[in-house]
Amino acid sequence: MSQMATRKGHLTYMSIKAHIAQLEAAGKLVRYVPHSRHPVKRCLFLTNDASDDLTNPKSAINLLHLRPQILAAMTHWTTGGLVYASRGKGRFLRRLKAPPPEVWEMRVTDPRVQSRAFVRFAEPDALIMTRIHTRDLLGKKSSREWAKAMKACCATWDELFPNISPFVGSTVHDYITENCNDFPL
Amino acid sequence: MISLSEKFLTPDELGEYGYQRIKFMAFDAVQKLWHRREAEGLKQKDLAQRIGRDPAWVSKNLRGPANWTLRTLGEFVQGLDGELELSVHAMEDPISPRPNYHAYAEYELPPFTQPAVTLLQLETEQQEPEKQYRLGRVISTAGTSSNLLLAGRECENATS
Repeated sequence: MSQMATRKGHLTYMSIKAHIAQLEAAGKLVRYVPHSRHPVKRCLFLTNDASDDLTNPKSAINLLHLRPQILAAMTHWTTGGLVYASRGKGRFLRRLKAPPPEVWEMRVTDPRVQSRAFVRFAEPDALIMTRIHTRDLLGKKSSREWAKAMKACCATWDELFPNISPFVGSTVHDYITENCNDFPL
Repeated sequence: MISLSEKFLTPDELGEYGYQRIKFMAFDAVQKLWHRREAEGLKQKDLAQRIGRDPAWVSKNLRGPANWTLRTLGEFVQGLDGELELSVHAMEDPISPRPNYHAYAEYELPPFTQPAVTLLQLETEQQEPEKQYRLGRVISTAGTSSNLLLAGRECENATS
């Protein structure tokens, strides 16, 4: 995926990797690097809003003491942990029903006050996390709050990646290349 | 490069984080053996019978690690005719073989030689020429001061 750029009449192509690198340098994205002996196997970049959800003492996530569970899920992702799914409700990652398209949730189901991190795939195995919501705030799946949260995810993406669509795959294995249960999108 | 990690957690949170990590790892390990046994023909109800559990309990705990305890791990390992190997390493202990790749390697900015100016930045430069120098600074934080000045001049020249 590339973004065409012009400079002094010359055409230059920037890959999404380079674009992400620039966003990091500009302080608009921050990467998650778990404290582990093992190399990072998948990427996770947080927007400023998502970082704030984790680090701001007044955020709902902090007030409800949900950080450890969310960070454990983030570490699970980046260290290449199993992206599990079953026929029932148990899924680590789920692509939400469009519209809008290509908004996924990282499901943190422990403790009882659960949380959902909204993410989009920049590339296979590379997620951009836009916000983290408490499950209670989102309400029922068809609620206005869900729709608002999904729309906000897309708006954040469009601001960071103008004219660049998120990655689109046909099967879950296009998005997550290793250690992933086979499940329908 | 600024990054986020679990190191900013408070002591209370760090303990909970450790517990959650172990649950994920235990679940992963059991899932691998479960899928192998399932491919060999084992059903969830057979597994439940082996360990004296209700099939619903087996089904729930094979869906995700949220409710897992050490007991859950032990029961599944026995039920799946497996053997657990546990070892705890110091963070400073090397891994063997030593990996030479990490996923973020391709997201590093190249050495600051030719600044890459995006279309968005050029459009903004054309609209706000007085901000050209500042945009030059935003392009990269990796360059030296002379490179940043160079970026500023090149931004000015872009619209001249």
